[in-house]
Amino acid sequence: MAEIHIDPLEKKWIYFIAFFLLISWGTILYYTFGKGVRPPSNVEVIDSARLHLPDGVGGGEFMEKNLGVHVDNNDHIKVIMVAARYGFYPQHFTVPVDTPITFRLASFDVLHGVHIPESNMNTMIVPGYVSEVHTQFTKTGQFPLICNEYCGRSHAYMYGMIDIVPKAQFKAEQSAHAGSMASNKDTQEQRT
Amino acid sequence: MTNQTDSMNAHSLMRFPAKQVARNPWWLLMLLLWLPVSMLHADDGPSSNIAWDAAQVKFVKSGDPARGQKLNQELTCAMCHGEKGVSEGRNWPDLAGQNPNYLFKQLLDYHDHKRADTEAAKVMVELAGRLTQQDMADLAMYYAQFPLPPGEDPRFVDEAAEQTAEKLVQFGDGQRMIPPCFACHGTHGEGNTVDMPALAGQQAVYFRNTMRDFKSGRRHNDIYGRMRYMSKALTLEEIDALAQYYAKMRPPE
Repeated sequence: MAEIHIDPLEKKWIYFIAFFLLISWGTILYYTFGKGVRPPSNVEVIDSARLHLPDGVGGGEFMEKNLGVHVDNNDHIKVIMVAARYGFYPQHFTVPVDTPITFRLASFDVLHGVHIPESNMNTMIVPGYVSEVHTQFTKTGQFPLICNEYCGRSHAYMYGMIDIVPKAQFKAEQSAHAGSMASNKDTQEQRT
Repeated sequence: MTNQTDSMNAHSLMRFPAKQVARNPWWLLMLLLWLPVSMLHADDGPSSNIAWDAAQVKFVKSGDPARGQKLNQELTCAMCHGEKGVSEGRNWPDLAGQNPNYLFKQLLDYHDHKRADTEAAKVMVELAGRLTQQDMADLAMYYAQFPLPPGEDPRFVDEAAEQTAEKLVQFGDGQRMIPPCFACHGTHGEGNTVDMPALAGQQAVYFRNTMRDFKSGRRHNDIYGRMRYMSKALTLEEIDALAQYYAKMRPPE
C-alpha cells in the first residue's frame, strides 16, 4: 500500500478534530448511560383529531371539561392543557410555587411548544403525542405561556397566562372553589 | 287512539309508540335508559362531535352539490338562506361561498344538539335532526360553490370604532389575550383550514348576534371555547364594530 502524503499541518487538524469528536461522543454516552438523560420520558401515541371527544385520548382526558388544574387526594397537582391554533386552553390558570407539578399537554392541530419564563418549563407539543413534563416553580408571579415552535400565521399571538402563587394562597383558593377546577370553571359556568 | 295521534301530528318524534311498547316492553326500557344518557350528554359532552381526520375531510368534499340544490328546495333552506346562499333577512346568515367543512360541522352540531341553546337555533335543530351525514355534505358543497356574499353596509358605528375593529382584526389585543381575527378567518375574511368560517360580507346583524351568543355562552359549539374566550374579552361596542367591518369586507377576486 502506497504511502499517502499528508501535510503535517493537515495531520494536526485531523487529530484535533478526532479528539473533539471523541470528547463529544464520550459526553453523550456518559450522560445517556451514567446519568440517565433520555429523550422524553413517556411516549403516548394519540389521535389529535379526536382529542376533544369522550372516546379520544385516555377516555376523554383532554375533553373541555377536564382541562385545567387537578389536585388529587395526596395533594399531587396535575395540569391538563391543550395547545390549539391560537392559544393555550385553559387560557389562564393558577398553580402553587415550590410544589411538584405534572403537566400533561396535547396539541389539537399542529406542532406547538410551551415555555414559561423564569422556570425550566419548556417542551414541544407534538401532534399525535402527549407531552408530559414534571416541574416545580421557584418564583411567584404572573407569567405568559409562550409558544416556541412556529405553528402558523398567529404563532406570535398564542396567548396563555399562568399565576404562580404562594402555597397557602393556592390552598385557600382551592377550598373556596370547593375542590372544583378554578380555571375551567369559567367555561362551565357560561353554559348553564 | 294511535290513529288520531297519527293524523294530528306527522312528526315521528311526537308519536308515542304505544303499540310497540305493548307488544315489546324492551322499547320502554330502552327509552328509560336513553333519557338520562341523553341528558348527561347535553351537559358534559364535548363542544362538538366532529373529528377532522382525513376521512372526514374527504367525506365532506365528496358531497354532491346537485343533490344539495334539490335538498335546499325540499327542506325549505332557501326560504331563509336564499336560492344561492344569500340570505333574505338580516337575521339569517349568508351561506354562499362558506367553507364547506364549517357548514357541515354546524349541521352536525345542530343535529347533535350541540348548538341548540340560542333562540335562532331552534328551527335549525329541528331541520338538521332529519338530515343524514350525506345530506349535510351535499348541502355544504352546494353552498360552498358560490362566491362569497356581497354583504351590505349597515351603519352601527362611527369611523373611529371601525379603526378599532381593523386593529383587532390585524393585531388582536395582547393585554386581553385576544389573537387577531385574521389568523383563523383569513386575511380577506375568506376562512381557513380546516373548519374556520369565512366572514367577508356576512350579515352584520347575524354576526353581532352570534358573537353575543358566544359571549354569553349560549352558543358553545366552538371546540375548547376558542370563540367564547375571545368574545368574552371583547366589549359589545367592539363586537358591533367588527360586525360592520366584516359586513363591508370583500374577498379578492
